[in-house]
Amino acid sequence: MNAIISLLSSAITRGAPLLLGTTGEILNEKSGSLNLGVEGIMAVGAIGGFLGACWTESIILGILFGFICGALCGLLFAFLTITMKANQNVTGLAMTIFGVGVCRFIGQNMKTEGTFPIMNPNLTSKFAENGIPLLKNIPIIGPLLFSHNILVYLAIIIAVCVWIYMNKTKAGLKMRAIGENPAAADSVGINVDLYKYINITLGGGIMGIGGLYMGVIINNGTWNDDWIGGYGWIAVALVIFANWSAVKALLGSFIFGLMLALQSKVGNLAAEFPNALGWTAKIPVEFYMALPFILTAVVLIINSAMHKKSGNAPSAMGINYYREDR
Amino acid sequence: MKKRIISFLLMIVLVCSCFAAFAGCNKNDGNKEFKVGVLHINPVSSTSGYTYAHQQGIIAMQNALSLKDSQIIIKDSIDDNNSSAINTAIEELIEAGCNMIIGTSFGYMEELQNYANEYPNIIFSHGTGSLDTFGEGKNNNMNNYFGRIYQARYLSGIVAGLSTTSNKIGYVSAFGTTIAECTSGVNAFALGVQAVNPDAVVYVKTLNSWYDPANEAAYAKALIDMGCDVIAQHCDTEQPSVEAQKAGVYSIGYNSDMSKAIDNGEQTVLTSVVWNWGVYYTAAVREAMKCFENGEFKNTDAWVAFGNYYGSYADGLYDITPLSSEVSSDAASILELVKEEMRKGTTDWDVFTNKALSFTKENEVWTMSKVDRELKKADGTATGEITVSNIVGDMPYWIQGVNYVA
Repeated sequence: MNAIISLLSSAITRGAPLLLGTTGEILNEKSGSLNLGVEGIMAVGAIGGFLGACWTESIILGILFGFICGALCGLLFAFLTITMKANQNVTGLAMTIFGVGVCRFIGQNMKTEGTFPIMNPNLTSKFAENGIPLLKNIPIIGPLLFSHNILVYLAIIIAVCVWIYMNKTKAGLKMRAIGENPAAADSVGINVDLYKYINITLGGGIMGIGGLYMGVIINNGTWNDDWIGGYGWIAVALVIFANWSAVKALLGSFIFGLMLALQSKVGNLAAEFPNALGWTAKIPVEFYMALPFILTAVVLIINSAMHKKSGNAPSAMGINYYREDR
Repeated sequence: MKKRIISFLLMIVLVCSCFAAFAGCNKNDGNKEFKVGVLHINPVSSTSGYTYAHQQGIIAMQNALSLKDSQIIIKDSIDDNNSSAINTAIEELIEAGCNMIIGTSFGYMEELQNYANEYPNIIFSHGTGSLDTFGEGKNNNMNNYFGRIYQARYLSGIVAGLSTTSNKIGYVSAFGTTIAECTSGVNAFALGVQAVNPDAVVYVKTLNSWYDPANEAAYAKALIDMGCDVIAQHCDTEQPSVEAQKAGVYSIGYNSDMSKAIDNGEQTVLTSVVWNWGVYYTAAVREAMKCFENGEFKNTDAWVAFGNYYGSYADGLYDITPLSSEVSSDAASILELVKEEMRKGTTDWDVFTNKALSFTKENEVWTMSKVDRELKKADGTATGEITVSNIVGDMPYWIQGVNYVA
């Protein structure tokens, strides 16, 4: 039982940064921009938030810094693709390379007297294990749902808020209309560029918090040059998995988190249930590493087999809008 | 007309590139000073862990031999699974005019071997490998270097065995039974634990990678979830120690002093198994420089005589760092007895011989005795005699008392 609880709870811890990345990307794609720069934006948010938290000694300001740095990257992407009409795919890839590069550049140069400023352990523990008082003492459910770090709950709240914004508000409706057909939206008087700018910037900020999560939780606030480690790319895949819905992304990211957690926890399962699950430890670890991606392929196949041409994919995603062509 | 202009331009480009190439050659020929190239697996800016330890050794060598910065060329973050990246890095080092190339990671072995065949005029030195390169039909311009690090692991095992209260000790290892460097480390560690605490079990998880910070932390967490209260490690970063501190359990570092890598580490990191690579690098580069005359590798016999290097405790190539204040005072006395034994380099006892060390305390004084034993694998069969070549290159099993949890 211990092993199962520890597996599921680490699925949630590992799924949360994916959820943040995915929610940010959904905001981008639903407003018509295919932003492939998630990995890079997360990296910038990570280093910005990390430095912000170290500097101000406050987790709230750290999160804010992560958000602002991510949002600035989103703003840059928006400027390049909306105002300058640059190709979205290429700009996104460039953002990835740029963001990861910026993160490494700053990270490797923040050495002082031969050592990196590692996050103060008080701060790391503030980020790490808080949980919800009282509720976390409930057996089984407590450790499973109520003993996570503050960023997990923030990620869930953000995802739900984004879903409400997109589906229950007028602004969300307009934003989705732009993603489907910007010319039509424009003709009824919606300010296409403004909406795109706001949503891309907001999405970038959310990705930035996801990056901060990778830095301070997954990597314990200790510098290494591979903080994001491909989670940004998984987030891009998860958007399709979640069928462009922030609430489905909740489920999707925790399933992917489970796949990622399996790699480190499969031995615990096998040790606790040697008869029932002993075989799981005999499968080579590379299989578990590939599992999230196998799952993505399977979901894509199921999606297309069910004759949903492209699910909820916004029709105008990835296409720049030229008002003059209308 | 257009075609003519284009072909003319192309011609100019070609001519220019020829000049550039010749210019490069001249520069190389004119430069006779001894150059050392180094391949690191991780970023050279790391502040603890594997590459940090090697880089500290390189810096110590540079200072000891008073080499200029321009004489040392470093290629870092060279993934040792990525053959083309290794080849590119080695070629760049050769082009830069290196006379000696040091590869610090296990996976560089085959590539270094190939280039050693191709470039007999350059000395190649490979760390932690298991290839025997000297002798008939082999190159005499390549050697291996490593040390009896398992002895330091045995010492750290004693510390862990005395410090655990749950009698469960976790060990995050890079690889499993496929790489003897890892199994010999775990097995020696477990023997150290058993020497002072026969009831303790060592739980091992394997990463299947030398460098994977996020998973190093996750694997340590998984071991802590199983009830382990001391986390030892054989991977490239300090993540297991950070994770242990976060969960309120002890840890044992590797490669460099990890109590310095994390805040308040002086308490929670009980000790670290450390390399002092400068010992080898200084000796090897000094020797290699003697073998060269005017940029030519003349004195091959001297290099062959220097040979492969397998450092011992007395050399100071490895050790454990001073103990944390949380470790019981008995540990220091016991460790001193064992270290004395290792310093002497006696032939009747080593970690993997058929004699075990046993410690007894009388009147506040610890004494050590040697008792016969038969080493057994985890499945209960006998290991047979274990030689140095087993420890370096052929130990595909865990010993009894080690519990592998994938």
